Amino acid sequence: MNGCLSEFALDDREIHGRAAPTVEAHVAACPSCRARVAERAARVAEFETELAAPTWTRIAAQRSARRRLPPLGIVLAALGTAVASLLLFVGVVPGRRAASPGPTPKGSAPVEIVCRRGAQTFVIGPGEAVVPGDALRFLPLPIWSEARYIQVGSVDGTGAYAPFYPPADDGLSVALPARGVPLEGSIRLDDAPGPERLLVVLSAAPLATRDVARAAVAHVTAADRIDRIGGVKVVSSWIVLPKRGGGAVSAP
Amino acid sequence: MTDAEVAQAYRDYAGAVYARGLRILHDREAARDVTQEVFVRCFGYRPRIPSGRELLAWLYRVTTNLCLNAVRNGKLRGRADRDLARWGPSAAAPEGPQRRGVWELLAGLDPRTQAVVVYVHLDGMTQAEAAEVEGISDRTVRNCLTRFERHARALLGAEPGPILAKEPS
Repeated sequence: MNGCLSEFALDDREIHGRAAPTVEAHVAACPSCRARVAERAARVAEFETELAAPTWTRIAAQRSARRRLPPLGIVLAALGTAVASLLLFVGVVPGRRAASPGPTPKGSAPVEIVCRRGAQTFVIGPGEAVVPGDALRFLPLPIWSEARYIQVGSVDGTGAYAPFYPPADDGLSVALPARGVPLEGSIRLDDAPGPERLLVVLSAAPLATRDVARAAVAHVTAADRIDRIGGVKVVSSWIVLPKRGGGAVSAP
Repeated sequence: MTDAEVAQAYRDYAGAVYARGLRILHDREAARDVTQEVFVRCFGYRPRIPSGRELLAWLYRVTTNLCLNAVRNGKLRGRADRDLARWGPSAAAPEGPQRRGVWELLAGLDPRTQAVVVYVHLDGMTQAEAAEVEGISDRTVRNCLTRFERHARALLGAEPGPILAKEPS
């Protein structure tokens, strides 16, 4: 370092208004740092005068549309019977799954995912592409007799974990519904970069979503199975769904 | 954080986030998109978002990751390469056929190492600052930088020496 402030130190100084006297003395004497202060100020001013308000509007709109849909609307309600029929149908497809007394064998999916895209509703599996706006419903499968709770979330292409069930970062596992009943509501995918790497965690005791998120981020690269979270035995599975549109699809 | 606190954070930090995105991506619309996404995440993650300098560090980390992801997506690589060429020609990276774009050098590295390289070589952070922003130890920062130098040197067929000689901004 030559004594010049890093971008981080510069922002800290400008935003929080505190810097050591030696730092202030350096900035006062350094043409390069003074130029960077001016350049930063110009960029911030450009944002605040031209972009801040419309960007906030976009943020608010995206926030309200993101991830979690409200209870299924009128249109989906009209399709409810058909969806339920589909779920029941896929629930008895031979070979798709079977109840087992112990943890799932490697590769068994713990959920069936039903995707609604426009007027279409179909079952989607690992490796099948999704697009922003898709609404996903999750039907837990009876693959582990000890399972009482479930968590579902996704690590998107940026490496960020978004909890779906429960929807809050500070939540706890949701109770598994009765057999053949999907988890309540649906998840609408946003335009975050793909792929969506869904992590489904079954457990006999409720887990903190923070612990699940931590485990998801730690294991997403290898996409390996997670056997314990927070000291609790779990059965977990990754379901990778490439994503068209929004961000680019990158390797998990 | 309450909604009001997130809104206050937007007022306090969004300009800096945008400026950072613009500095890395050199694309106004992309920088705006990154700013938007950062604060959408701020809402999504708000129960664990800190305040003050810690919040600034968190915003740096998220912004950097999103920018790197935008570059990985490919659309901005040319622009970003031109910008990052300002990091300076390396004694070990001669002009001509052997010269590679910085993003090409970063491409085979893990996201954390990429971020650390950006912090140290583009932002001019000390290793301690990079550790603070990324939420890792100084030693991990050093390991990331060593990994990057080894990786870059292997790609360039270069002798030991500084891979990137940072120029004044």
